[in-house]
Amino acid sequence: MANDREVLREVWEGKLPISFHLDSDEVVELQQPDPFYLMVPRLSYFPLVTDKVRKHFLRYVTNDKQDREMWLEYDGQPIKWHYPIGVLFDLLITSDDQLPWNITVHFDKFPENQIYKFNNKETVESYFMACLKEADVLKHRGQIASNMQKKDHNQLWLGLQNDKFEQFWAVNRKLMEVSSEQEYFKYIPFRCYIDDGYRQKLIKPVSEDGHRKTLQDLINEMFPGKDISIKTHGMIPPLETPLQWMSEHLSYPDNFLHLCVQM
Amino acid sequence: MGDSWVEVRGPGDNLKISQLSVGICAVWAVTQDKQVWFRKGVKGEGAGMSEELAAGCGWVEMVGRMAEISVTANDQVFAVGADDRLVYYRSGVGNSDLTGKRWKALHAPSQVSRASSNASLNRDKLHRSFNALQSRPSSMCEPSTISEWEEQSHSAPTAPTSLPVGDLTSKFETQPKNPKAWSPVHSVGSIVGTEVHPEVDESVWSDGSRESCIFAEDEELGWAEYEAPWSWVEAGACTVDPNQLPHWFAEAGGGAGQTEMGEPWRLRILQELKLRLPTEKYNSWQLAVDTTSWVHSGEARVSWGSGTFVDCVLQLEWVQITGTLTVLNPDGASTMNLFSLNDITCVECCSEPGSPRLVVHVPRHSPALLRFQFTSDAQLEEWQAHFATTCGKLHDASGKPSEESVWAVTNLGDVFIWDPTQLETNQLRENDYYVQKFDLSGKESPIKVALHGTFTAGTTLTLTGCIGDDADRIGINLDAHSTYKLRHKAHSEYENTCLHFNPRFGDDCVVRNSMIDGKWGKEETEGEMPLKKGHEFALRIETTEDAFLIYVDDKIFANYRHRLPPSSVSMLSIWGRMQPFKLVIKSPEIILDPLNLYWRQVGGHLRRVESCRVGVTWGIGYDKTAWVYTGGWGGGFLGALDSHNVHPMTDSQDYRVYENQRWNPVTGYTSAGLPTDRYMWSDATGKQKRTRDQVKLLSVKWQWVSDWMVDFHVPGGVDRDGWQYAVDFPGTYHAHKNFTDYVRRRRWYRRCAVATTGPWQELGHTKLLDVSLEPVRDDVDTIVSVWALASGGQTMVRTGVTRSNPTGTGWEHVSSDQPLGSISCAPYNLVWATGKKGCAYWRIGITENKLEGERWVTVEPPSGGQLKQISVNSFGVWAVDHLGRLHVRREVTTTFPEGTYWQTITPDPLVLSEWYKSIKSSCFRGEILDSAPGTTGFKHVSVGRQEVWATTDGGAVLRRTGICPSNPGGSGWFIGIPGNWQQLSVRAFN
Repeated sequence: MANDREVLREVWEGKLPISFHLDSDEVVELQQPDPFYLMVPRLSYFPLVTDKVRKHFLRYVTNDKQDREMWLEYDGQPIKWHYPIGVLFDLLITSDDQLPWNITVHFDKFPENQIYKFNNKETVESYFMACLKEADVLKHRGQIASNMQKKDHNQLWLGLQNDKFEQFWAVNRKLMEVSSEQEYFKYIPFRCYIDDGYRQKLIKPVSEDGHRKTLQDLINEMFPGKDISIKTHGMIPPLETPLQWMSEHLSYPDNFLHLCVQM
Repeated sequence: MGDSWVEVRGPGDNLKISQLSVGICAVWAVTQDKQVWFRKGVKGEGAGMSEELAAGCGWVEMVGRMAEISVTANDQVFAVGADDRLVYYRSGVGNSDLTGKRWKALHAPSQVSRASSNASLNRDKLHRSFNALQSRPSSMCEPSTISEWEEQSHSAPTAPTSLPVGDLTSKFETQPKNPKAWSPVHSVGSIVGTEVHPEVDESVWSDGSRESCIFAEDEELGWAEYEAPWSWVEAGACTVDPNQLPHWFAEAGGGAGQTEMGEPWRLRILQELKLRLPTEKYNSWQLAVDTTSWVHSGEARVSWGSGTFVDCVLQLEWVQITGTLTVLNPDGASTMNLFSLNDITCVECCSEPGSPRLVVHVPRHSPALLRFQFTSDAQLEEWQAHFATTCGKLHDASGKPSEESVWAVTNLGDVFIWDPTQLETNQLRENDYYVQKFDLSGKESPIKVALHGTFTAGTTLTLTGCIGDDADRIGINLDAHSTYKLRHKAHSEYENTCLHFNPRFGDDCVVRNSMIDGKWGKEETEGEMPLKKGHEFALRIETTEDAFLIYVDDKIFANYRHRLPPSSVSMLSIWGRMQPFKLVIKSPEIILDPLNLYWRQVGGHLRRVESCRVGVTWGIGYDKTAWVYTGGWGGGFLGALDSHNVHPMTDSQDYRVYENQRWNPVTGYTSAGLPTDRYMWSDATGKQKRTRDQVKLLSVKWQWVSDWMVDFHVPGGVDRDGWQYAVDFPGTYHAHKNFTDYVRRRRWYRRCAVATTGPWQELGHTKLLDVSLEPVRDDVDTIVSVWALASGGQTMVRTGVTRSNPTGTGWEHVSSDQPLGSISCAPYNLVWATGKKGCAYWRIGITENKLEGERWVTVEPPSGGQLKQISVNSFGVWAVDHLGRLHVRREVTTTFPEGTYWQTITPDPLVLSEWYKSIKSSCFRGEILDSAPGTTGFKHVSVGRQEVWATTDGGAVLRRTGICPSNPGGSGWFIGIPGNWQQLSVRAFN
């Protein structure tokens, strides 16, 4: 059971200071717009939190571009909107000196071959729900998520969107319970980010002989013989942290552990 | 009736089914080897048409070994474990999965443990371990020895309590609001509740009931020693909604979760998470998702002060860091009242049956309290939670309360905490002094300002102002509380003034004097007149050990030797032609106005709570169960919102009604009384009519756990039908009918229980009347000396209690000649108790190695008084008697800790009467003072290391001032909010 509310709350409260700049080539006004400063929840997705940014910059771009999808760029690379913001930050920013995170805003030339095209928030929602169900398949053979009603799904989504911890966890709690006679999830839903992409593998939270597996065991199974550490939520969890506990407490709202591999 | 029997084959050839339970679509069986089986393919809806649907198509073996199984009306399953004899509930049973997921042990603590004629009640101990089975009387586990009828009633505690909460709510609300309804739980302003309150009921100190007071249930201790595992569960009559299980169904939060809390990896993760961002730097940044401002509004009814309830719309607005409560007219457009959430010092439940109510204390406003009535208990809790989170944020009351906290319980059993460290951080500091500033400009003399700081040595008062051109005499007084003397039932007031500073411009001198008990002493007039008409001045009064040093415009003017203890100063009064500007008090001690304390609620239902210096806190429920504070917070109405280390908790109370009868020569005893007789169904006093069918529970949290039963444990004894006889009403009741007995009565009781959650853990099954805790040494790891009284009044000490192990290890009995009613200990080698006859006792021979001491020494009670409750500390020995008077032991020294006599303190008019309110309006105290409405006497006293606080029968909290070595009884009271307080503990407050 994910009952350590202190940790859950702290994870949920994680926020990042971001300074948004409009790409100077796209500015039509004489004067460059001020950057837009925003505290953004780590657990959210960019399309859910950038309405204010879009509104702020809209009047500085040409009329024909105003209906286009806004996209974000950092360090010359388009930002993958379908990763949680905290994951992107942990992948792209390596030192605190780089705070606030400077992100360039574009309205033109959506890089369709590099990031998914997205139309509206429903796209994000369906992607989010797909992840959540995938995670539940790994944890409980999908029985909990599929037995949920539409209103539960809505509550999860609105809880995330409106940054309401209680609302979200009232439903997510069920997804984090261990089912039937088992004390553990069937498999741990996680993604290991490495080399511009991520890897997944079926890993159980307990070993054959009944021992609780730890983060160290996961690393050994994923990257045998390599000395690496893992970053998630802006911190490096101790290697002896049990996987089951990590999955219950350190998963993102999509119910996956997003682990950034540090070589 | 059907036609014929069809044989259904058992699960195996050699497996005999020992028991079977049938629901609608579910058939569960237990075989002789304790294996559990589920019959698949049964469809109740089609059973009439098809034999196959009725009989099912095969047995499925289930996990778990059970002794007995029962299916509810909606196919939910209960069972009794074969080995552990716990009651289990099958979780996850639904239409799609009739077999469910897993067995969950029910962890509801026992609710019924009364020694009663109905022995089966005693078996309701839940989750008692199996190993005591051998030591138990066989009647307790053999259902065959108990009749069928009793079997039914015995299962009542589980079955009705498991009714879905939703059902009850609707039923509850559709009931007509019966004005005659009454509740077992006493509530604010409730006339009806009072008489049936268990405490009140027992403390009606008529001759007849004195015998009993709290000692009626001597046998109970004996019963409580036994472990009582379950042998049978019958759930066929109830419907359990699996989506809305009562919360005590949940498994205790213990186990793995708790052990992980201290793991180094967890602590490191938590620390790193907290250190992620230098938050201060980005505090002003806009949030992408703004969750910090919101409005909550809803319909309610409001009552100002003691007025009637009128419809209103209630609106709570929270904007980032501050909030406002607005009371609007029902049209939602015009405002009736509006105040900042900062002004709220306490929000507490004051429901009456059928009327869920909250009282909001705003002592700086007039009226100082508002009552709100909501349409349902759920709404009430929602508002309670909103108030708790917002006011908690404003008062920085979150997380674990400090170990110095003052604990209190209300008449409704709610638990509140006031954390002094929170006041300390909020109080103005200058160097080492606590500072209080008053802006008096714009106030017109005469002015009175209440001074809540104790005027100990080092305290400085600075007053600046301007003397009028036409001034003749002005007065600046440091007043103490008046002395009141009772003569012919009327109080006469004798004023006390510690320092009278009286410039007389006509006589060109400044007179200094003191008034003691209304009489002026000798005037001091030396010194030149330092003040000038029409000029500004700065008066500074410094308190030293033996004198007031008076400075005018920073030059020493006079030295006035104390005639009254300076610690008794409680008010500054100013009169004459002058305009004061500013008043500044600097005190080496914290300035504490009991009216302004923020009371924060934690979950739980308790009758008493007791704390001590190292933060070990115990509670005692109305069912006398002992609870130990877990160090958590939240629970109850806060739900999971902001809770830590909370556990399920239950408590129970009894309704009692008396059936009265009178004898006449024709028909014998009948319920036809004389026209002048009391009600034939009444309360203990006979003055209130009480019938059994008028009974209504206080809220949906309460549920009946028994039916009406005749009480066979009434003081004075009863005959075999529960009657007790007397010559006339009211009288001394006895068990056997004498020739002259014309009346008889018997007591009926019905038990109800409440299920809630709170940061409490059940200590064990030994029932307690009273407890007192005191650390033996000053270090944090010290052993805590714990004295307790078992429910029969026997003295016990708890061994092994420390800060890290607040539950301790075991009880040791301490012999005493007679049952005790109240006990208190502090310092650890000073233990006082009160006994059945109202005497006090103190214990000699206590050393660190022999905490239980040697023997009791009797101390005579004060004349005309029987001591009911006692509290001792190095600061004094205080006790409450049966007439609601307070007594302080005088001439207590280290060599004579027993003292020589009792000084009696009756509630003075300041506390009592309404006339004080008339001077209140002319009295500037920095805020408006409310007296203690409804007070006729003291209810409870708690003595801390430097504090004496008391509660009154009107529910107010009082803090004694002016206590000093020369006057251990103090000089007066400062009055806190009338919070319906039952009892409090200031033992940890330093």
